[in-house]
Amino acid sequence: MNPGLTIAVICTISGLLMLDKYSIGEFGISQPLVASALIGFAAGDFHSGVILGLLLQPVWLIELPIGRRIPLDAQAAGISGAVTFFSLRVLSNTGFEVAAIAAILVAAGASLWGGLLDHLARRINGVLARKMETVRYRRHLVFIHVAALEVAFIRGVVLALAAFGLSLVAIPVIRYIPFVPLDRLLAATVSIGLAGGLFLLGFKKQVIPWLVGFAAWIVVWVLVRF
Amino acid sequence: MGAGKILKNFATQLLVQNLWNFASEQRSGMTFILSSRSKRRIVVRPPGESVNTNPYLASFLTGVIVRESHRKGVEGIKSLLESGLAAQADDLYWRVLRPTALLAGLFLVLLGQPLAGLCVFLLGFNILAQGERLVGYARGLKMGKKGLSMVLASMARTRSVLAPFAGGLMGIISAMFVFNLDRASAAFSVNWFVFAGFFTVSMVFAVLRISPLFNLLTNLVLVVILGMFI
Repeated sequence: MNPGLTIAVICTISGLLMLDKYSIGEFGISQPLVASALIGFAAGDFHSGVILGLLLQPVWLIELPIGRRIPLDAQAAGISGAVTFFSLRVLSNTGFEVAAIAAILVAAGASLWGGLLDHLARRINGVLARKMETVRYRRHLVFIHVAALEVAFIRGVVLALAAFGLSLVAIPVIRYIPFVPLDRLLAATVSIGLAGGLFLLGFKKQVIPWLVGFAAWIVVWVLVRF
Repeated sequence: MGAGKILKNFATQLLVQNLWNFASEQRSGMTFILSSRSKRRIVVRPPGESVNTNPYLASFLTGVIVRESHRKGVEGIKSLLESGLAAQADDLYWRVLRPTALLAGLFLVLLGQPLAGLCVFLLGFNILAQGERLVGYARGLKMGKKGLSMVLASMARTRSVLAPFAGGLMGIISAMFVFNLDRASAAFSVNWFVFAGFFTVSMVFAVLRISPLFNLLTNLVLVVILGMFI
């Protein structure tokens, strides 16, 4: 596919993914695991997208949107990380592992500034909501909801474009990123999700199920190996 | 209630969080949902200045508001329900269900089944979450505020099944890194002591409740240092 068209498609997908964060349904397709796979599919490399999702998802596994709290933006992390990864892969033919490290670093930053964008979007929603209090007919509500959807969509596009711009700037310095084998990178990020998950669900209550699961895998391992 | 009405309510419920803001929270979304029922095509607003509950339980709340709307004290009922539902539903859907479904998906991806992993996450999460959204309205309309205890009990039962399942999955995934299958039969394998080291560091960060971003940066630095020696 033409690179310009690929970027346009990825930006559109990013905007649509951001609608899933709060605006429409919250189906979970904006989680890094799925978002990376979808962006990877659009970039022509579904498998790499899934592996990138596997690297990104555990870090933001325990971020919860409970009540009025704005957590680290897992969705922004997934979108920005995937866009960075595939931009580097396509534009400068960067190796998988080095592009993955760059993507993880950009994702970490995006989860912070994505939170700021989230805050801004909610402020804009507040203005639209005040407008909504004055309308009398149902059709006017539709216009206001469409405006809010556009705000969320643009947020996704902005994140994708920012990640793409950052990738362009990063190309000259990408050779300074050290090579780390994928297996080790995976151990580094998955361990964060597993440790965080244990405490998220209550460490004392999870110890026995955790041990049972651990023992079950050992049984499988013994059966397969011997 | 007909399937058409249930589906129409489901479609409007998808927008309950659209327009979420710090002042009125989900009130604008709820206004849209209630107005979509109006035969005179006018705007119908929920009682109170703000509405906020778990998005998947908003459907049940809508049903109760519609049922009790002609009675006195509907605002009190709404406040009681939204806070009662939000606490337990946030715990179930965000703290337990979503991480559990993601862990199941990650497990399958680690086994080298990426498509199955994505499907298991999306189906596992949405069957329960969107299922509640689909049936909640009719339940709220039929049972009113008395349905609250039933919904809470149902969520508590689901949680009691899912939480140990998630714990078991975490045990399995941890063991996968320590007891590797052959590279041919699994997507990844890593030296057990590498994973054990990272897991210990991550446990320390989790115990101290330090942001996962600091944990990530520490692990990245450690993985680079490790590469210099091993």
